[in-house]
Amino acid sequence: MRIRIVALGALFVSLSLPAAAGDSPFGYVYTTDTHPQGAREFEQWVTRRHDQSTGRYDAWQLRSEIEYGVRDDLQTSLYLNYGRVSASGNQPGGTTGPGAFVNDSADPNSPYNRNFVESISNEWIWRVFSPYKDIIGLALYVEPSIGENKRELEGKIILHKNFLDDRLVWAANLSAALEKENFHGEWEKESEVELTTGLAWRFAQRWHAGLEYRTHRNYAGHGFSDSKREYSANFFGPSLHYAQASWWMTLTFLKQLGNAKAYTAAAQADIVDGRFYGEHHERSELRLRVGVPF
Amino acid sequence: MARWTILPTLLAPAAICAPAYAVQYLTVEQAQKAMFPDAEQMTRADVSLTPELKRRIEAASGVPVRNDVQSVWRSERGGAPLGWFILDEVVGKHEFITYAVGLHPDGSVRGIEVLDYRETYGGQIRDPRWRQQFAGKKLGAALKLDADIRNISGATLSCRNVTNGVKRLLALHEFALR
Repeated sequence: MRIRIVALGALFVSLSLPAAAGDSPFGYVYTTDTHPQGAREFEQWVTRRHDQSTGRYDAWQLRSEIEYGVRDDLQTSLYLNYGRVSASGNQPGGTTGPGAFVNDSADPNSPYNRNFVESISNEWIWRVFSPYKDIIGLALYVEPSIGENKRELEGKIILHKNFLDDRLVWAANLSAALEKENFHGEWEKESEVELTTGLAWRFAQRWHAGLEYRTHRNYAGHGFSDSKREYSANFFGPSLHYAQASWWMTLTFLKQLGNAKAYTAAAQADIVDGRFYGEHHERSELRLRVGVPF
Repeated sequence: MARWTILPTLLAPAAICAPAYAVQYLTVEQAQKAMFPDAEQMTRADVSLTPELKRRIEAASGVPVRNDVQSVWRSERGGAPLGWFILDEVVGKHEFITYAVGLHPDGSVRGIEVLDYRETYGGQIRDPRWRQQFAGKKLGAALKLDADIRNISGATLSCRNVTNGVKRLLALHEFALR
């Protein structure tokens, strides 16, 4: 509760600042837009990860971020990842946890609630080609994260193109991440690959409506060979974006599709009705992003 | 607190606290006066954009024509033509940008004025030095960002669309106002 109050307080403070916006019509997909040199923006993300195979599960992931334009084509940001998880009997067998947010020390027969600070991240985006001047927009992204129980290095290739007088926005990201997570007192290595893509239509001034798709693959250890594959899961859903000069917001709802695949016996045990519920995978995700330049 | 109440709680202050940025810099009359200060008469001369006319404009300019009617005024003094005042809109990052182009009778650009600009970045689009880049341009000029038109950081989309808009209006003059 205290974390939530702090987040709300930060948001109130930021929204009272006179400001203006650099924004994305997508909740999960990055575009190549960056802030011009010297421009700053506060962003608050709230992601609700809801429901696993059974019982009750809710993880609220919060992210408070300051973005800064180092050059017109280079942007950096610093953010804090934190949240709250609430689970009870969420495992396929009817027990509670563990998972990405539920500690492995959780009592399997009791409800579990926890506030947590996950990590601090530093993101860099370099726009190589502009979607407004070149055939296609291209940006490269790198983001190291460090937390008490987590280390991560993530990279992305971002593509972005507008169509129909900039009324239709398309973007796609190919992401790869190397992670180390402290689980059962030991640091475990894993790797992830994600492909996200989205299409958004400007249906009125200031408003975009879109669709986003996300496919996630997980690998044991560091590396992306077939022999290390553990599982894949896919998500799809709508997004709604509002933006004006002083602030913007994007709301995206993604539902996990029933076509998850497991490549190990352990991953297979986490698939119920075609959906993967291990790690940090849920039945649905709802993400709100609010941005306020200052 | 119910989990879902967090969303309206987050959205409400954004709607309440966000400052309004709806800025109209010039009315149509003010823009006409700025563009043609010596005009005695501004006569409405709207152009109906038929499919054939749209096709010719698009072929000559390389820019799509989205509207069916173009708002145009003929500027005169003592019965002699001073040129044309054309009001137009193009897509900005969040909202439409309303601007006007003044043309000499021979179709070259006399000047441009920005009436409405409501974007976060790129307010310099109203800077006389940026607008002055268009003066004297005729159909056939490159009118391309980073070539003969300077870009404004953080407002590339707006600069490109205004530049393309001018290109389109020069073609409109060629086929409908000459």
